Amino acid sequence: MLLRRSGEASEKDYDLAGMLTESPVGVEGEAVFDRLVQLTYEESYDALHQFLFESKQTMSPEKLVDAVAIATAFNGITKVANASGLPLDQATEETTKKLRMSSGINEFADDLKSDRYN
Amino acid sequence: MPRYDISDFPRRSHIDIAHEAAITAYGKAGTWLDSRTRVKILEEVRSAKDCPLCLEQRRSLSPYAKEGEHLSQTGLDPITVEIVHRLCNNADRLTYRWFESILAQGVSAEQYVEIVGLVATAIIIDGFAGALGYQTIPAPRAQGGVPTRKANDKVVEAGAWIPIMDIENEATETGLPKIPNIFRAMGLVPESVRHFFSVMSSQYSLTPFDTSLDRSQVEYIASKMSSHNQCFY
Repeated sequence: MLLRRSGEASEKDYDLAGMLTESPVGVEGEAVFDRLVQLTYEESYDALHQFLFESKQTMSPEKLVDAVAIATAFNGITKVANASGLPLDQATEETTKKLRMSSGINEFADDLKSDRYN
Repeated sequence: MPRYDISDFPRRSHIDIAHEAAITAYGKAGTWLDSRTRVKILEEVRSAKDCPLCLEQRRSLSPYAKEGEHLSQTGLDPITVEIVHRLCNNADRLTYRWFESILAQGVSAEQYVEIVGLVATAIIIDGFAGALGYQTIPAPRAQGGVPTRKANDKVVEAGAWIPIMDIENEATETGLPKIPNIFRAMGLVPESVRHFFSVMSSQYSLTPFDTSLDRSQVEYIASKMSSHNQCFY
C-alpha cells in the first residue's frame, strides 16, 4: 500500500485503519474521494455526474477528472489481480505485514475467499 | 444536455488517445483469440451490467450458490460469457475453485489471461467515459487475421493461479520491488500486458506522472477502489 510510503515521504501520519472503515485517514479531500470512488465502483453515473457537478465548489474540475482517472484505472487493475490469485511480492509482504493486519486487508486473501464463498 | 453538465471538465488528450488505440486493438486478432471474439468480449462487457443472474449472484452470500444462464446477446460461448460476467459483476469474490472449473471446461490459461486483459481494459475505458459523461468509443469492426498462438515460455510459477512473467526483480530504495507482481500477472500473454498497460499507465504510474493530485491523494483513491473490489493484492 503506497499510501503509507507517501505518508513517510511527506512526513505525514495517516490512519490507515480508516481505509476499510468510515474513520478519517487524514488525506486532503478524502470525503470527496470516498463518494467519487463509491459511485464509480457502482457505475451510478447519474449520481456521480451530480456529485462531480456539486463538488466543483470544493475541488477543481481538473482534480476531479484526475481522481476519476485513478479510480477507474484501479477498478480495472484489481480485476486482473483478483482473477489471477496474485500473491504479494515477497518484499512487499515483508514490508507491509503490520500494515496489512491493522488495515484489515488480510481479510481479502484468496484462501480466505475460497473458504468463505465455496 | 445532461441534468448536471460536466462537459466543461478538462480532458487529458493522452488518455483519449490511449483509449482510442486500445479500443481499435479489439478489432485485431490477438495471441490466442480471433478478432471477432475480441470484439464480442468488448460488447459483452458493455451489456453484462444488465444480467439478472449476475445481480442474483451479487446479492447472494456466496455468488456460487446461484446457478443459471447469463443474459448474453453476443453469441460468445457460455464459458467465455461466464468469465466476462464474473469479472464485470462479481470479481471481488473469485476463487481458485472457480478458476479451476474454467480450465476444466477447456479454456487454456493463455486464453483465460487474454480474456481477463480484454475485460479489465474495457472496464477502465468505459468506466472513465461513463464517469465523466463521455460517449463510449464504439466497438471496432473485426478485421480478421489469425491469432499468433505464440506461447511465452519466460514465465514462472510464483504462487498465483497462473504462471507469471519471469524476470529478475530488484528492490527499489523503498524496499518495494521495481517491477511489482501485478505487472507480471499476465506474463503468459505479453500482448495482453502491453494492451492493458497502454491504458493503465495513461491514468496512473508508480513514478511521477501528469496529475493535479498529490501522491497521497492518488494512493488514497487507489486503495479505496481496491477495498471496494476486495483486492488483497
